[in-house]
Amino acid sequence: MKKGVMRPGHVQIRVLDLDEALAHYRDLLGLIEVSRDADRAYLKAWTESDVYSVILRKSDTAGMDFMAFKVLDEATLDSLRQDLIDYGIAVEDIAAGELPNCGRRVRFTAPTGHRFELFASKDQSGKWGIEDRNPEAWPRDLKGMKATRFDHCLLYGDDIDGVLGLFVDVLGFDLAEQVVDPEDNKIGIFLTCSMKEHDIAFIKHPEKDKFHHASFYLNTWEDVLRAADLISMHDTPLDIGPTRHGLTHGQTIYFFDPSGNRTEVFTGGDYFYPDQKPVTWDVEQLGKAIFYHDRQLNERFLNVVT
Amino acid sequence: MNYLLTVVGKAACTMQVSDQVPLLHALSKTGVSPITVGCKGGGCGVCKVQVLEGQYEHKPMSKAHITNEELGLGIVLACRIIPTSDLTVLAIGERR
Repeated sequence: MKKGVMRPGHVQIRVLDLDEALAHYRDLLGLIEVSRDADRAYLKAWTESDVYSVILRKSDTAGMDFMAFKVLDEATLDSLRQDLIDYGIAVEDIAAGELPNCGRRVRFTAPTGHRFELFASKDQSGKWGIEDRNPEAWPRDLKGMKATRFDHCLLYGDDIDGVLGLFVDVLGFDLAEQVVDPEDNKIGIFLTCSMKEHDIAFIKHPEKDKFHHASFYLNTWEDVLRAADLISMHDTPLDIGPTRHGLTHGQTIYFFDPSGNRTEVFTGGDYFYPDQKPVTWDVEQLGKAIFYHDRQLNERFLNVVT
Repeated sequence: MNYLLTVVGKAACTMQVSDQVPLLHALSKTGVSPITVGCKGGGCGVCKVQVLEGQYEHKPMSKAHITNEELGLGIVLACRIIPTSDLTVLAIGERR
């Protein structure tokens, strides 16, 4: 049941070189660089209303620092904070302004070891390059793949049942799709707080706190093919695609940023209403579930994480 | 120019590699890399090798996979080293 979590709000990704990372996320993916400070760059996709959604932090490791969800309002933030505490999850209160232009955040660690945040307030700059009133269809000056929004993350971790309980029982997400083994143990879960097929997904993995990818939405299959062309033109390391997933049925391509973090751009995919039962894939069909056309697993896609 | 790469261990072989691009990038273009290809960005750690002989320059690698101590022992990620001489390496990453 929905409890006021609206959408993915931001993700902070660790990169080994900030300038190289900007060439990937800004010039190739087509995000808008909003601002920089000593060790971070802030970016947004052009259709997003908030001032930024992607934070790149220079570090000596790759991976994800945290992912945040935006909630309806400050009262919802208070009630979800209390629900987390009542569920036995420790919360850390981060003051407004610790991230620029962002209100107070409630941070917690999920049973898979990933850090998440909830927040209600962030400055809104509106869609980039077009007006609020009588807007044109799209801005003329977009770069690269022209990513339209930060859509979701896929994370790898050990305690899938634990993280499912947290996201469904406490945060009000729904389970849209799952992969199960013959004993009905959950191997993968795709969770939504919206009409999208996933706002966050988890795959079972022996280590905690691993980052598989951050995903960005494109408008058409033609845009995904054009993204593939750009990946070749830039000689960017390709993981797999263009192809279609069985899971969610999105049309997709995966590639790596210069620090080894995986990026997805995709389009299409199924929709979700709360009265739908979860779609289930059997692990024996995992090849088709992940790569609907090849129907074969790719070891790199399954095992390479940051 | 090209240098001679000698890989020892399970996937033993010799190949010519470029001095212009990171070692793993040159190997992956052959389609038969003796070293496991991962993210190609120094982040995932699957292309870990120990350089037994030879010289190279290196770009930053994730400290989650290569500690300063390892770096001192010539243990590096093949996707982040650029050969400056013939090289002999032992593949020690995760062979999937």
